[in-house]
Amino acid sequence: MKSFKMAMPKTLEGAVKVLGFDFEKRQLMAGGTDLLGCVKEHIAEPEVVVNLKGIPHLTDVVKTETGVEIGALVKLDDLANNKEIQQRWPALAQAIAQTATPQIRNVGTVGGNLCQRPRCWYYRDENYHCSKKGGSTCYALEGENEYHAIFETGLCQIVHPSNMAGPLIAYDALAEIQSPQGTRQVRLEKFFISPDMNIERENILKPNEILSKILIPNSSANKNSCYYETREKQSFDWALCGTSVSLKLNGKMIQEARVVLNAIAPRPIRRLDLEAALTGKKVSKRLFKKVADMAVQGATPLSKNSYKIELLKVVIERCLSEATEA
Amino acid sequence: MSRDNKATEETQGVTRRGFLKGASFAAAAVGTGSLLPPPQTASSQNEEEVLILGTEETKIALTINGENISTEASPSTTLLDLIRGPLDLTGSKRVCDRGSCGACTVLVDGKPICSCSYLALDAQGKNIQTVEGLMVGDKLSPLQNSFVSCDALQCGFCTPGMLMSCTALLEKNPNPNREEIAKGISGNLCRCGTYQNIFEAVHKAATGGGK
Ligand SMILES: Cc1cc2nc3c(=O)[nH]c(=O)nc-3n(C[C@H](O)[C@H](O)[C@H](O)COP(=O)(O)OP(=O)(O)OC[C@H]3O[C@@H](n4cnc5c(N)ncnc54)[C@H](O)[C@@H]3O)c2cc1C
Ligand code: FES
Ligand code: FES
Repeated sequence: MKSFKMAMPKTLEGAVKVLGFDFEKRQLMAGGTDLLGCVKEHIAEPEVVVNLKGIPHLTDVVKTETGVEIGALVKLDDLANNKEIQQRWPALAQAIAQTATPQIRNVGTVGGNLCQRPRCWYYRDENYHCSKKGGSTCYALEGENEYHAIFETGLCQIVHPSNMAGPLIAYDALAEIQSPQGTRQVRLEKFFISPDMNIERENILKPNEILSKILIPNSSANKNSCYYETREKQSFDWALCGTSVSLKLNGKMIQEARVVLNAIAPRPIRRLDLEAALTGKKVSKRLFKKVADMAVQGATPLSKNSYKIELLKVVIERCLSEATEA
Repeated sequence: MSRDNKATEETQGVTRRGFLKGASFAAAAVGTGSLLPPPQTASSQNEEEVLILGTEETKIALTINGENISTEASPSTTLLDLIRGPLDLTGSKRVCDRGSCGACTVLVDGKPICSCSYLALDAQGKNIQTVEGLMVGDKLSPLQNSFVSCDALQCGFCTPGMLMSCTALLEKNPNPNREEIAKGISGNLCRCGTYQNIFEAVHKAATGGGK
């Protein structure tokens, strides 16, 4: 691994100052489970790694009047085992329990998971100077694209690798961002971006900004919510297709719905059209099938991944059923 | 288009040279001189001085298998590099070096982690257990014994990592069922496919058969 210096800030303000103006030169590290892989593959070569672990309170999960605040450095395993999260926001605990392996969940953090770099094998291979790395070609477009996107394809075919992003968006979570000017909050839904906004990044953060915490509002707590994904392997693997739903039910009537799809596009996608199709309707298998069919209309699969269309339909139907059965 | 996210110097109100001067060299002076504050001192009186280590080695102290160790590591040294290299504890294996197999699993404060994807500097002050620490005197641990008697290995390359994950599991849950064992080793890949015998070995150790 190419050697680097390590900055050890004690405050978020200090961390922001030591970051810089160029993603290449100075990079944040939380657990390091993703960053170190990128450095070993020579797709990240930071001169200075800014280690967030010395900053107090970033590992806190705090109940407030309006909801729960999750520090960026909270470990995945700690959050998945948090009783409050399991009971009130079950889809989030389900998504994390299916993330990576126990070893990675013991080190990987919430901020690191949401900001992890894509797993596209062309991106991860230093020999391919792809569009995401400043080149002019997306090799997946004509190449081995079975694990790539079926929506928002064209410029860059990655799928966003985080599976916990889906439930967090379904629960109307906010991201708090520390910048040199102070902090601001954005809806997590707007945190992730499409390649046409900036092909080299997956979110809105600037080189000297830090995701400091995630806020989930009390109003989104809902036992009728679910995360469902399919993978090739039982463990170690990223999702092929994933869906998060949260349904506010009155008896069998759906009063409000959230539907977010992941692992099918360069960003997690909230589907307002599917939410509208569910709202005001009675829970039924027929309705869920209709919504699943609707979901894949407009998909633009690549040469080797049209199987994801059928898969996604099944995942959506099962996710909706499980949410209503909870 | 792709440069949209790059912060510009104008928006920051600080020159690049001034920034680098304060941010990077402040801490390079550790051990030899005093820390310099960052350059933007106008905004507040208690500006943080950010410590920057490396690239050369720095001192770290950690506990490995019950022994307090002080050694040196550069910031880019992984815990696996440190234990297999200078500390000569070669039980933990390097297979993928990417967090994707679990052969390098050690316990940090009792929890299994991939030492290939964990920096040595982050282990500062922590309690590390490696496979070398499982033996009690010159006797194998009950779990190690049951791995032997249940034939829970073929090539043996995954074994040190498996033993560490199973040790952590039994510590937390002394009598795990099959599903719980499967979960416990879901971060350890066995290329030889010895899982069935590993389930048996853990079960045997849990029920007192490994003594
Ligand atoms: C074998 C394997 C399987 C996996 N499977 C899955 C899976 O199924 N689903 C899934 O979601 N993930 C999966 N992962 C990814 C894993 O979840 C991430 O590696 C982990 O969450 C990253 O967290 P970290 O704290 O170690 O991040 P780091 O490696 O420290 O950082 C990751 C990236 O985020 C940036 N970053 C970190 N923290 C912040 C912050 N607070 N603000 C801004 N930027 C930040 C870093 O600069 C870096 O670019 C898998 C990983 C492995 C190795
Ligand atoms: S060598 Fe560390 S996980 Fe494979
Ligand atoms: S015994 Fe060979 S890898 Fe497990």
